[in-house]
Amino acid sequence: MISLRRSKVMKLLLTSNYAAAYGAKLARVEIVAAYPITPQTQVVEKLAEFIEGEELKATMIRVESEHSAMAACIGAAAAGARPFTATSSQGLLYMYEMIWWAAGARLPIVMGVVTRAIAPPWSIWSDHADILSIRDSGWIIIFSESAQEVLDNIIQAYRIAEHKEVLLPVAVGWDAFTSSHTAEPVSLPEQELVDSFLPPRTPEPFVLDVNEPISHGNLTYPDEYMEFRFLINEGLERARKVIREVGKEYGKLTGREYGLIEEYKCGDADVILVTLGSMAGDVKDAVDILRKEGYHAGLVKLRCLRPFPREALLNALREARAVGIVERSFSMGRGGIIATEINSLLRESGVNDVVTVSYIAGLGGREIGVNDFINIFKSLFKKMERGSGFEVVWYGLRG
Amino acid sequence: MRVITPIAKPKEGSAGLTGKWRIFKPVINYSKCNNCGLCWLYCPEAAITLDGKNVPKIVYEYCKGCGICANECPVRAIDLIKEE
Amino acid sequence: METRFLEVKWVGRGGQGIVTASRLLAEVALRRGKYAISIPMFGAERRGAPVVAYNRISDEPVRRKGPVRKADILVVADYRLLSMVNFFYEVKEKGLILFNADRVPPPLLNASKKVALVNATAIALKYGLELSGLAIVNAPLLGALIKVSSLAPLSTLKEVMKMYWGEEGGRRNFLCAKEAYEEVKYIT
Ligand code: SF4
Ligand code: SF4
Repeated sequence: MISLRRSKVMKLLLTSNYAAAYGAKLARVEIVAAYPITPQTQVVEKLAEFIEGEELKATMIRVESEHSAMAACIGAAAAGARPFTATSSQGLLYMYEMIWWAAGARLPIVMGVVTRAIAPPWSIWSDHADILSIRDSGWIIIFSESAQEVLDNIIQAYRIAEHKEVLLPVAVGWDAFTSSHTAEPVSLPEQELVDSFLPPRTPEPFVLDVNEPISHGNLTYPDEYMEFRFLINEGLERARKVIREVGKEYGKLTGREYGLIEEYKCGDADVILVTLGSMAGDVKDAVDILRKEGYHAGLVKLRCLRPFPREALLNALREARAVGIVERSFSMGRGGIIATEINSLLRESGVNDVVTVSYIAGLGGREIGVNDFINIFKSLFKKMERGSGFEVVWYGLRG
Repeated sequence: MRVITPIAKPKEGSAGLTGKWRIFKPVINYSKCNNCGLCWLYCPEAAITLDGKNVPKIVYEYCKGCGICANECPVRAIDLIKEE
Repeated sequence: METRFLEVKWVGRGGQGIVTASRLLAEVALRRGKYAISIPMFGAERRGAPVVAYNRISDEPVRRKGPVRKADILVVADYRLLSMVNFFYEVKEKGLILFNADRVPPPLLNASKKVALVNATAIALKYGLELSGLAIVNAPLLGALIKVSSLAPLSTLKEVMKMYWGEEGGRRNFLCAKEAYEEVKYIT
């Protein structure tokens, strides 16, 4: 295994997987419990290396499955520690029961999700069906475009998860291979800087303690259950503000500020594409190329999927004449998962004079790049003349 | 009928023309071969056929050169020869 | 080569060190003050199976991560892969093909593109860079590549190789790279 020693160069060349491991290390995680799965494996390999080399003081819990990995994180978080795990695709599904447990028990766990397609057909490549399967569980879901964002997001995720107004687990996603195995320059913040931003966790009064035994997750009767579910939603709603504040503060320290969404040249845009993850970089290049040809094109990159950035999206999209949502996910029997949410946001907010198109693209790692986004933009500039409506397009589907 | 779920038949070539991957080529020395059929059984690409008398034949279009057959042959009747 | 935005495509076989080559090239560019990314394409991760990796190198941050469709430099690490590469289509108009072979492959003779030749296999074998019958050709190809692209001086490559492979491994790989740097020649 190559060890990337710090050199005179400011930036390290890291894959998103390694960036995640560096992020967890800088966050001084105390427990790592994970089960290997392509394409997540190097995240945990690198963390094991850090622990072995005593660069990170943490306990690696070897588990026999993802279900147990999350269970170990739940136990650790319930006892007041700072746990980290990472998984992907089938692994996330195998963990599913514990996913809901983590959110319901209000435990500040951070999990990396290397987003990959779900089988069958068997596929190890990029797709967002896995991470979107936890959409309604109460987890905060944050997505990353680059290795730098993976590192920054994991550090911020602990601040958000452990915030007393939130107390919910956070999933940080990045694309299989396109991000997980692509090496990019990453600025590593100094450990002292991260320490000042993210102090050790101060556990809540209700953590597990052998000296004052309590139990968690007990049976609630029908006249109590609803209230606890309501409280989860309240935590998520409050997280919106916390995520923005944390992103601002991180920006002051590192020069890289984060919000719920990122707007790219949306101000005067007639057509806006909404996307997430590594595709956003290609869309930015497409926007620049089209702008040189006189098209008013823009991009909204979704950083935060849950809580849903309602106001931010509405602000960014309300003046557009056409909005295309390009996503690697689909709700069978309905449409693009994110697209239907954005379409209903626009309509319920009284924005009717806009064409929304749900583009299903890049499933199972199907290639998609700058030229494809230029095509999509151009067809949206035509569709925008319709004035209103909603449509689902499977982009690049072979007959 | 339209195939609506991925299926694979156990036959040579299901992973494409894997013959191009080869660095070493397995060559059967028929004077040593005792026709036990083990190479046929073990070949992961189903690139070995047996005739009615259990005489193995390697289909080089699909043989990927993994060397498993040579390793399994109980009488060392398969040599691995470096490809040109 | 005066390109503000350089796209490289590497074609080789599992075991030849293609993914590492692309990683090291990005590392070299980074040290020359460039922004660089290395994108490996994963399919059958098996020895001998075709492997593709890309680099994008630029003065500005590189945002796009889709595969490189047309490369400025196409590096072909194995003669037998030639039939799998459509070099007319996959190389830009003014692009270059860097080829590992001891002689000019006939299909490249009347290519309209620039072609450079280096016998990376022979150089690798000379320095004992071989694993299970397959020459590890990434070091000589890197040496040849930084020559034809004028991306960096040999000293930068030396630094990077040392960082990745340590003192002894770095030295041996660098000798290979240096020899290829000196021997690579244009044939068209
Ligand atoms: S080397 Fe032998 S076992 Fe391997 S693919 Fe070829 S014939 Fe089959
Ligand atoms: S395993 Fe060896 S002996 Fe048996 S059939 Fe194959 S070549 Fe012949």
